[in-house]
Amino acid sequence: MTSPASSFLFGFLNSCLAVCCFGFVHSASGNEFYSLSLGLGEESNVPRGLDGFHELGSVFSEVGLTAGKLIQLGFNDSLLLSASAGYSRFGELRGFDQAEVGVGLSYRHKFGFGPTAPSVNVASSYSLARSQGAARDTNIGVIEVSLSKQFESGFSLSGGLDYQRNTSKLLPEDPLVSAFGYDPVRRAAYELFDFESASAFINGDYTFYNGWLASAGFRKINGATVASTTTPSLAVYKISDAFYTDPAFNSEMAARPWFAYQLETNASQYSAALSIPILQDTSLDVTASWIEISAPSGRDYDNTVYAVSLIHNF
Amino acid sequence: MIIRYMRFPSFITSSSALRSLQWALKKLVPIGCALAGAMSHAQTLSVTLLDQNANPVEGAVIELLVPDELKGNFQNTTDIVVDQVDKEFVPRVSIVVAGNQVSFPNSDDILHHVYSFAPINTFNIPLYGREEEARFSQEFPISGVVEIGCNIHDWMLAYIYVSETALSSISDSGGLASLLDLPLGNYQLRVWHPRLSESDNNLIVDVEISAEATTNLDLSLELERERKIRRAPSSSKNRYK
Repeated sequence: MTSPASSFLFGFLNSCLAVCCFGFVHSASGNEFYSLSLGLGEESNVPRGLDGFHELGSVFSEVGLTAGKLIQLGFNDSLLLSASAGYSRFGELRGFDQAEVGVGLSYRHKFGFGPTAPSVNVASSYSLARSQGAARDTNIGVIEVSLSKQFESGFSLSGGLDYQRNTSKLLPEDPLVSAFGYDPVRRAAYELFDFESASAFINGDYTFYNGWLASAGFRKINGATVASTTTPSLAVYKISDAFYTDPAFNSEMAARPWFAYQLETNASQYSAALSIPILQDTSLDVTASWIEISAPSGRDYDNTVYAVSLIHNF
Repeated sequence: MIIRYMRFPSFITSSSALRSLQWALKKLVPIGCALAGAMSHAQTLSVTLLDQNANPVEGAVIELLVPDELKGNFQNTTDIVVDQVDKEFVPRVSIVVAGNQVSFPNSDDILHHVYSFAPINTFNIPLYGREEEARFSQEFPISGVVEIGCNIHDWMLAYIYVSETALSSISDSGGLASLLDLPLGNYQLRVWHPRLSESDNNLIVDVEISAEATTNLDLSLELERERKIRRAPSSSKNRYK
């Protein structure tokens, strides 16, 4: 948990960012871009369940719209303001449906002219993610620093660091959790999506002669995972930083209550993608991510996400 | 040197008479020039360019290299335009005779930033939009090839072939390039294409411009595969949530 002062500062800065971004994008008369993405996919472990019973997969569909404005500050410096909105809908696990709106601000400095000039990028974004039930609602702030370089041979590399701060509003007392009486002295927080995380990442791209783009990436995340279970235990409660009834599985969707808990975790994310240009500004992307999550007391989770997306830039 | 201005008689300077004289000169002078040209060099060189797969090569430049003493006869003062339309340079390959200007208007409603790294003509034209297009033109005094790009839209690329004389042409979609009104003799023909698999993307061939009206030349070019900077979008690499 962060201090109230730093949380306030972070929230204030991101609020300013949001206001600026919406203002700039709305008033823009040139150098704007709009991007629409439509996707279908499958996720193998939506609730981040630890065992076979709790590992529930689902197909999902998603739609995303981004509007942005590029502001060139100088020969080699540019500012990108963007606003985005998206919605993910799960086929079997409708409780995990999520709507997200966000704004972003990205500063880029190119060390020279041309496509092969290396560049440094400092980006910040702030988004609001809303689900079924306040316990899964969260506000996400991200600050990222990355370096990228494209080579004549068609390869490009990028890598960097980011910091993510999730915040959520205070939740009312959960009578089901209180009834367990696990730990009357140190009650775990209720706010599941209130945590910090940091990650380091590297990505490599290769553009084939026909314009197809193959990508591979690795990201190491030190942060938290919110997992769900129908069999809460004192052991899990003691290592959890937050614990609450999972609103994704309400009484209509599950015969017995599910509980969500937040664990401090280290995750390794491997990703691969193939992006096929269909038209000049349209691509079909096939992506895959494999995530391995390590939590205290030997709790290891994994998840796999496959998706096919159609992306069009207006 | 003293320059004297000659005063025309008053009947010539009357407006109707002057218009008639101008009309006659306008009509007759080109005809006279054409006849004179036909008598001195009416020969045409027609070059058909095919790649290693026998496909027509579009956008290749041919230039007849003439001795220095003849170069003065084949100059022009034609400036050219390389426009920016829908985030692409149009045309992608252009020819300008050395010493002339190329202007880079911006027909898009966004800003562009044109630059060149070419040693023979390094320049950059800072950000400008549609309404500012008249200001931006660049002189190309030295012959060679100048590759230009946009520093904002990395996929935007164009080539300006700066020729020694006006005896140059660009092949069309059928791979055909022609040069008209050539002097008789033996010359070298330079063929350039951005993907030509030769040193500096150049190929030099000997050619004889004979007394026949048209000299035909078929050339097979070894082209490298094209690797364009990708413009189409790709999904962002979102972190796992």
